Amino acid sequence: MPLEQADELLLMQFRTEGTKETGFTAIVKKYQEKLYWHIRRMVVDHDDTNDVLQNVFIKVWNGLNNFREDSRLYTWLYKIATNESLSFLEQKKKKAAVPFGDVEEGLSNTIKADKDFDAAKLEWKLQLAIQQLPERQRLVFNLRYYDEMPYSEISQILETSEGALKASYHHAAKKIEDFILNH
Amino acid sequence: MNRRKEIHEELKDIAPTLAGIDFQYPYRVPTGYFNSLAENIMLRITLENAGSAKEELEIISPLLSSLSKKMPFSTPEGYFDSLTPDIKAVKKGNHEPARVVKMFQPERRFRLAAAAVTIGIIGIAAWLFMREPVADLNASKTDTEVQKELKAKVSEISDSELANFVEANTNITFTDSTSVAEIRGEDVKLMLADIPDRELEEYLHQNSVKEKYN
Repeated sequence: MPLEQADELLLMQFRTEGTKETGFTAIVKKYQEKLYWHIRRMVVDHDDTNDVLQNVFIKVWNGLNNFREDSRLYTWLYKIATNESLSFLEQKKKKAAVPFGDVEEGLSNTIKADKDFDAAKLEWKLQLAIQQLPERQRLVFNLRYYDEMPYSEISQILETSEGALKASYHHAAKKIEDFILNH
Repeated sequence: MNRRKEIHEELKDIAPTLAGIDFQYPYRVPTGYFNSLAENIMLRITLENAGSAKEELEIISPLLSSLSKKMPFSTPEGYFDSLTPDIKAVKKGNHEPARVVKMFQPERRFRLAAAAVTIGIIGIAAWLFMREPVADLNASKTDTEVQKELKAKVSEISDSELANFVEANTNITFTDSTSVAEIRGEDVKLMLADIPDRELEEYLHQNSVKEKYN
């Protein structure tokens, strides 16, 4: 497996005429899996995730020239992916003309419809529990629990103070534990 | 302490049950999805930046873009030649204007009738609302004035007419089924049983006094 190139080098390739596509493809390959799972945890369905992820990378292609390196590329990409996922869920809510709670219930049903779903297994129960959380708490929990992100970076992505994030993560973990123990 | 361990320790304090769950993620991704993702995204970006339909097709399907666009279908001989004069005639204005058929056009008389009915209803309603209440002509007259009028009117009637009126109305007979003669003495006793003797004596005294004067 080739060594992952440093973001600075990839950005330089992207900004150089003639190596733009090579640089971009390298960025996609480097972050595709992380972003895919970040989006999938929010929208659940693979096809929806694929649509959102492609939109994210198209936005990256169009906006990368304006990216100022005062934050990490990784954080910037997560921010775009988060916003795209939230927009997708918002549009889904509008199209279905249902309250957001019903969309969350729909996401739980998508989990249950997965061919590998096994209600007895804890990892599946955990996914159902995460879907019960409010959107913001779900995001904080996923970024901390799965992506193992420091609060300082989550703070940059969600534009929220670290203290509020810690409280949010605490509430989310408690709610998930209650769900697992009572279901 | 690495971050994984740090998050695990944090979770152990907040939600110990959650800290004990296997970290494995249960979802699956189609085989080879990530291998072709970058290529698919580049294709989409190129398509979005394609200038013309020809360029777009060259990207989507080089095979399709290389094929001739000549239609294999044929038209009847001279079809386009015979089509031209009609178009010229239309341009010159030698054609009848197309008839405009309105979706709903009620006849004039129905519209007039409807207008008349509406005006009538509004007029009557306005008259009923605006008119002054009819004064009772007799209300302002005194009893003596009314009596005078009646007397004057009765004096206009001839004696023969009055005689006929009286004769016609004396034919009315009272058909009360219970005449005084039919009331038995026992019934009278029963009827008067509840009346105190004092009241009866008073009644007899009053009536006997009146009879004397009558």
